[in-house]
Amino acid sequence: MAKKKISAKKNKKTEKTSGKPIKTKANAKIKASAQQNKQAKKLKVGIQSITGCAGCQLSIYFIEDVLLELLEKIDLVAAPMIKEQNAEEYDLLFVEGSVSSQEDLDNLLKWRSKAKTLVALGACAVNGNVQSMKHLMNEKEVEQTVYSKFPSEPRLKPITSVPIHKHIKVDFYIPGCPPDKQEIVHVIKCVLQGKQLRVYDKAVCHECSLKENYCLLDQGIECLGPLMNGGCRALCPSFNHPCTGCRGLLDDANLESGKQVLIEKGFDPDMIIKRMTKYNSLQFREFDEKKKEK
Amino acid sequence: MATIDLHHICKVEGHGSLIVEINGSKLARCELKVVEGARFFEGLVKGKRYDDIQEITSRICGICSCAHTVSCLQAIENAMNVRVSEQTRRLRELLSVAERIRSHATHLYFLSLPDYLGYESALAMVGKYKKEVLTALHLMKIGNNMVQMIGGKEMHPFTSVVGGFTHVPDKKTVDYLKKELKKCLPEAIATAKLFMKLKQPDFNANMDFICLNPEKDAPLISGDVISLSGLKIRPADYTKYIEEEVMPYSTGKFSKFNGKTFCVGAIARINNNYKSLSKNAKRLFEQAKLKLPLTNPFHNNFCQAVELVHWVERGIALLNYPFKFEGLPNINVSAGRGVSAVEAPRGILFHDYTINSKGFVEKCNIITPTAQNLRAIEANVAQLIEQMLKQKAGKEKIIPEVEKLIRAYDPCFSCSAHFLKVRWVRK
Repeated sequence: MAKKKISAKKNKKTEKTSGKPIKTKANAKIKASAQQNKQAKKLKVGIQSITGCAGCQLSIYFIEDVLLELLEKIDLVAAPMIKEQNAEEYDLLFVEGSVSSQEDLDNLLKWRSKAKTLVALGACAVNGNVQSMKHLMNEKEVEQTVYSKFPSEPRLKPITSVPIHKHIKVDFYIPGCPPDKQEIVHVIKCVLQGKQLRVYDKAVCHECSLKENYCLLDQGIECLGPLMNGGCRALCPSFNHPCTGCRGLLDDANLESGKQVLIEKGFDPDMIIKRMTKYNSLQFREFDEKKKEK
Repeated sequence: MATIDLHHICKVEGHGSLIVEINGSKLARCELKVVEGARFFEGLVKGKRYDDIQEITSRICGICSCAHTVSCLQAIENAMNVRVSEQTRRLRELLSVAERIRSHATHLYFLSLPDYLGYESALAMVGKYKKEVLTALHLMKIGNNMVQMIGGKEMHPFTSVVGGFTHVPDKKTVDYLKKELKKCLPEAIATAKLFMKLKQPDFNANMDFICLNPEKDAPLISGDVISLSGLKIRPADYTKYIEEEVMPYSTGKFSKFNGKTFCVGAIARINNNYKSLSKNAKRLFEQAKLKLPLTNPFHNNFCQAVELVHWVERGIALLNYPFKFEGLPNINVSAGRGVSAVEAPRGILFHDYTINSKGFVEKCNIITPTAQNLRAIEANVAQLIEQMLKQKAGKEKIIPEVEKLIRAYDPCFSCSAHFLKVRWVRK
């Protein structure tokens, strides 16, 4: 199934040129549900997870300073990691993790049918994260390295990890591994106020230059900043660590020229590809396929 | 026959389930299942270069990403004969201390405490126990701030790389962290006092307790593996003693140590290393009037609370150091095998890599604390159910106790998948 860029993400380009928020179905829906909630009950929020490290939902609980205040404004109806009683109807549902087993898929389909707005939270749900590297490797060999004999129970049947939009419609994406806490708060606030959600779509280099960091590429370090989605306040380069692209490839990343620049700087081409695909194997493969079509 | 089916065990990290079958008044089947999807990390890192591995393996777990980071880096450094400075070891231990504070605070207050106070979640406790919830949030905050300021991010820290750090906190940051940690000490002590008062079920398990030897300078990130039964082995020899087995019903493997069921974590650390605790932590432990060694796994909660005091104090001591940026590390690649064992919040974590002469990983093995504890949890659950059935307890009494026991172990099913819903079948 080809990656369908839907709702907020689909409208990136228009947003870029006009600079104004655009109306999308998802946003209209959010607005409607927010208005409904103003009159009636609080916004029913859920946090569900499929295969991953649970770091994204921890990021929500780690909003220490405003967590209690935030919880007064919403009704946290489901969060199995910290709650015993979990409802199954949501106005806003955050899903973390990538689809990696039959059970994941069954749960995901169930949640989608019960959620008015569904947000993919974190690199696993948005791009598949590191576990999706298996797509570019010999899958049998990888599996056999870990399990001499894979557990036989049907619900554990492995699926090579894919982001959630491969199976369901996603209304908004919060990338990052882990996602930025402030961004999560911002999304909830926007939904509460009925404001449009916007996607950050500039390269990591943009914020990095605003911070007046020394360019790591210029210093001979394999930084992927020019090709990757920013919005992280150029966290890694600000700590002298190259960007490795946890927020995904830019939609209009010039992959070929990016690779060329890195090769000219003397980096191992094989190594560069392994780095670029660390969090975004499927995105990378789609770029390759698009190139072949042309 | 009756079946207990905890199809998704709540208030634990990751996805697990428990199935229990009861025939008359006898337990017929008890299976603890990790149902977290398999991510095949050990296979994924094959063929990747040494400087990319930490970033991948840290993603195994959100709540103990620092432990994975440190263990991974140390194993690679051992494999390639890379030596690190005292400052690097200190910063890595600080990362581990910070992670311990936030992990224990999250587990104690958010996952465990509601069971004892009769609430469905910590958030529901806000009305009556606001002070406790705020304490939890503050402890979590200081832990997070420390990881962020030293490691770059709150989760999956990236500044720690093979050979050293890409960034070192400046004096202002270090002073701030010291000041904040000092504020945390009374909160940690209050936590230990709170958990001391909680009534624990009468339960004794027969198993061995494994942890790292505290005699070295940095007990969290180095040392030999020791057991309560008196074994002492080098981390590199772990394969001779720890035996892993794949169960048909679980993506988490089950292990034995020297042929015996064993447990790791705070309770094992206190059983083996009580002497090395700080004065304040020892005083609090004495107040509880418990006899060492502890054999009741429910006490793992209290042990974590005592540790919280110890690690806050250790953190303050570790910050007394003139940190200075040492430049980006220069690495000479060489082939070899390296093993590292560190104490993650939930117990010993092993990382084992074989690296070739070009610096690429050829073989990798990782054994997480929860994977080591799975057999013990399963055996303890079976024993508890049998004990309660003898006392003629009903399903509605047994299930909450079983969940409490599983949670006391602080299992992390993301890590072990490679878990909690309980299913109860009565035939």
